[in-house]
Amino acid sequence: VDLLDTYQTYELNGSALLVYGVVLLAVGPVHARFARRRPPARGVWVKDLLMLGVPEPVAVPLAAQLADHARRLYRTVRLASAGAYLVVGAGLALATLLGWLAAAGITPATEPGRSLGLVLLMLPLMLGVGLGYPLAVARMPRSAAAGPRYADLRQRRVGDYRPPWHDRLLMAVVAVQVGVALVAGLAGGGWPVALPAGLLVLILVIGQVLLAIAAGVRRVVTAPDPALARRGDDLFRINVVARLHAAECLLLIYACFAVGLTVHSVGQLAQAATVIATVTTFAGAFVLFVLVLLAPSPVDLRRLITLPSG
Amino acid sequence: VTQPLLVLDPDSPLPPSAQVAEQLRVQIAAGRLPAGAPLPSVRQLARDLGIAPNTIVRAYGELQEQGWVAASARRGMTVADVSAQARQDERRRQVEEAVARLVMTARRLGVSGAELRGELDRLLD
Repeated sequence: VDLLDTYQTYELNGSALLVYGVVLLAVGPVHARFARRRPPARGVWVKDLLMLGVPEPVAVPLAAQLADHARRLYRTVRLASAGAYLVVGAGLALATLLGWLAAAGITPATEPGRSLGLVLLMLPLMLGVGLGYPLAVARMPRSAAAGPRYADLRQRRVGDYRPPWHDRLLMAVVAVQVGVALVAGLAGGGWPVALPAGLLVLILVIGQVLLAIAAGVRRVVTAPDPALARRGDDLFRINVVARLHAAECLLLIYACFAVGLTVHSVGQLAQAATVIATVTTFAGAFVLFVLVLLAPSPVDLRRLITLPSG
Repeated sequence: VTQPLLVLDPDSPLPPSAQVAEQLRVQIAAGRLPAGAPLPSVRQLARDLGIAPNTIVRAYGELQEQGWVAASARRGMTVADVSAQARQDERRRQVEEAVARLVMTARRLGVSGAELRGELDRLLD
């Protein structure tokens, strides 16, 4: 317990997050050295492309392109996550130095403080995936020799890459948690109870914005047949959306637990309300966890991606 | 459902804005883009094709003037309700142009009318 308290102190004053940022930056050279010894994993991409009806002679060079994009994406996501850890860590350090957190009652000894620690640990990872993808795409070369440039004749949306009910379920879970926090706040918990619920809404908004950006970034995969190139691009994009969606769900699970913990700390709440809050929190967390498990697999791609060429 | 694509040909003598306008006209005339269908934003099209947004604005502007697309504040750019006659006329114009180009090439190569018809029949079969 002492160790946990010490850790939470370092997390809330930003030191732990600054260390994570530096470690992620340091991982770069080690990973680059390791990656040079290993051939790129093209087999999985080839398998997925064949499943999408891409002929083998096209799938092999397309998979090489996707493996190269994945390598670039990994590097950019790592750097973006490191940057997010450093920025959030520096922000917390500044807030601690100026005494803002203590003044707001956010310390390792209080429930809002403990809850915030969990969420802050995961937030930079979601930002890393969400910001890393558009940044990586902006730097990805588009070889004219590999094929012509092409564009969809309709607006791409997140709904093209995952079932629309995912969004509705996420919003319902967040609405229930916000409702519980509101009741607990009115029952005597005050504004500190609203803090984790506010974070929950903020995570949902940030997650949705990042997902919309991921769906809209430019097409980068090229092949002599643009229709086949689009399948490769969609395959890559759906993997990114699934990762980002998983990060969003995990972060929301943490925030759900944070809401639950804070609500339980409100002594004035009636026993029944506490039970309801506990049940809804765990139900919400469970639903979100199932959503993470249901992240689109290549099998879902057959349904989600437009298969006919043309 | 086939999702149509817009492909930019770097070797085409037509400038990119004309290529965009031409391909959109063809897709609408062929009925692949039905009336009311929302078109992509200028930003998305420009980013995908790697061209300046102004080029897309010019292409959309030209199509809007000709009545092929309509702009609305709420839905952005959408396919206009083009009459069946106008679509038919555009298809005929496109085919006539393509056939004229083919005949010109055949004449340059010294291909006779019978040979050309035979080749066309073979391809159509």
